[in-house]
Amino acid sequence: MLKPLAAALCLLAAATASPQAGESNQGLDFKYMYYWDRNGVWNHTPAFAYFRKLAPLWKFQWDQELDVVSGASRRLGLRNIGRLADNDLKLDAVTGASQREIRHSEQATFAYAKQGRNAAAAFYFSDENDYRSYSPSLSGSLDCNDRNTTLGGSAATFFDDMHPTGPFRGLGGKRNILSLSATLAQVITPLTLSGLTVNVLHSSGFLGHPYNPVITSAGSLELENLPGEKTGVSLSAQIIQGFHIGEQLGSLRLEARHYRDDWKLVSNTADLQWYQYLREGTYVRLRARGYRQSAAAFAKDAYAGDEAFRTADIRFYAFSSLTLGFKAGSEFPESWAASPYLPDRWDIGYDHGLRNTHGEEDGINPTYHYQLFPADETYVQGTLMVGLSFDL
Amino acid sequence: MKPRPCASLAPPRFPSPPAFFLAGLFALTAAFGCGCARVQQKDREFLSDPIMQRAPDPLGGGLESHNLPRREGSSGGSSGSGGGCGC
Repeated sequence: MLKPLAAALCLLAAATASPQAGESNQGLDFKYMYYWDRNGVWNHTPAFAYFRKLAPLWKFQWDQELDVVSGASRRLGLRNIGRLADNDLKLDAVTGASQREIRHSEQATFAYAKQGRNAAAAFYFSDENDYRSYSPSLSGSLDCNDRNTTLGGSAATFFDDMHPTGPFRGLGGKRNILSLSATLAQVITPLTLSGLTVNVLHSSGFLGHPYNPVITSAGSLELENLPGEKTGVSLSAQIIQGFHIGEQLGSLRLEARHYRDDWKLVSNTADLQWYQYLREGTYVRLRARGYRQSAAAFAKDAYAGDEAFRTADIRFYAFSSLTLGFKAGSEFPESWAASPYLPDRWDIGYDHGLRNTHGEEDGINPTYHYQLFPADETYVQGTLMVGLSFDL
Repeated sequence: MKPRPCASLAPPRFPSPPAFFLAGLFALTAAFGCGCARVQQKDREFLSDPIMQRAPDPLGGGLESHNLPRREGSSGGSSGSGGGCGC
């Protein structure tokens, strides 16, 4: 885990060894994300993105992320539930997941840009104690219509391998995901942008996980069994409208996304954000996001045990959520710009999520089922993100 | 602690997906149709501002597209592909 990080740091040191005054051919963004939920599960994620122009038309970027979580995310809300309970450094006999998990991911990108023609190639790698992923990807875009219209496309494939530890060792498998997308972006007025993106996802292989066994009506535990393939399509539309309040620029952006797949899961998302400059370089952002999804065709509250497919994974059940967020950002004093070791900009934001979670009162022991609570409950979660940006 | 009922958190009422889908597609088609009127380079000063970008915070947006689906348990609610981690 430390080798990729060490390599990234060496690359960064070499790149900043000879800064040239008056240029911004390289930059560095830091983010620190902290997640919490009402059950005490937390997640610390430091991350950075570094870019450097290698030549007039070429750019290199390195993205690095580290996740430290108190509960593997599959065990959403299962703190202090289970035969061994959620004690640190012990495996939960119900889920088989580790109590604390460290994960890292890296991505290297080479990009080319010339007169409205852009192309990029990237390679992604992530590793955690029970999962490993490799992903090469390609993307490109073309400006036309006097650069008022942009056509873009991308393709990525993931080679994932789930290898559980503990009581569920040997129950994982390999998974392959192919993601294809096409984007059309259009400038409409000097203050209006719009975009349309279509994305097709095809997944095959071991698509589930063994950590949440299914309970039948008779009370027996069965392993999850999902179809070996899934194809999904999403269509997202975005419009950004700029305006002025006094002399200060603001923007209102609305993004709507519709997703459906051949497991019969359908979801809709609407995300509204208002950015507003308060003075030069200082802005605030308010956000409201609503989400609703239906259940997959094979998802049931209780199983007879003779179903072809069964799951207790919370991701395949119906729910809706509301996220409200606030963000602010500004610039540091101009005198700081003279030093590459002092940041140029900062930002801080917080998103608060409310998720309705349906409980059950049909006599089935809720401790082992996907439901978090015996009765309907509002699940609360929050995400804090702090960022620093350096123009090197 | 007695669980609070979920009744106060009614799910957002969205139009049926096909109507929503078609309305959005129509609006965008109309918007793109207006693209026949080109915005000159000299009039694009505001379009280059960070708050007018389609992705104003690429690193933050990437972290969110990874974290939000796994914590919320959502499918298709972000630009993530669903692969790349055992979340």
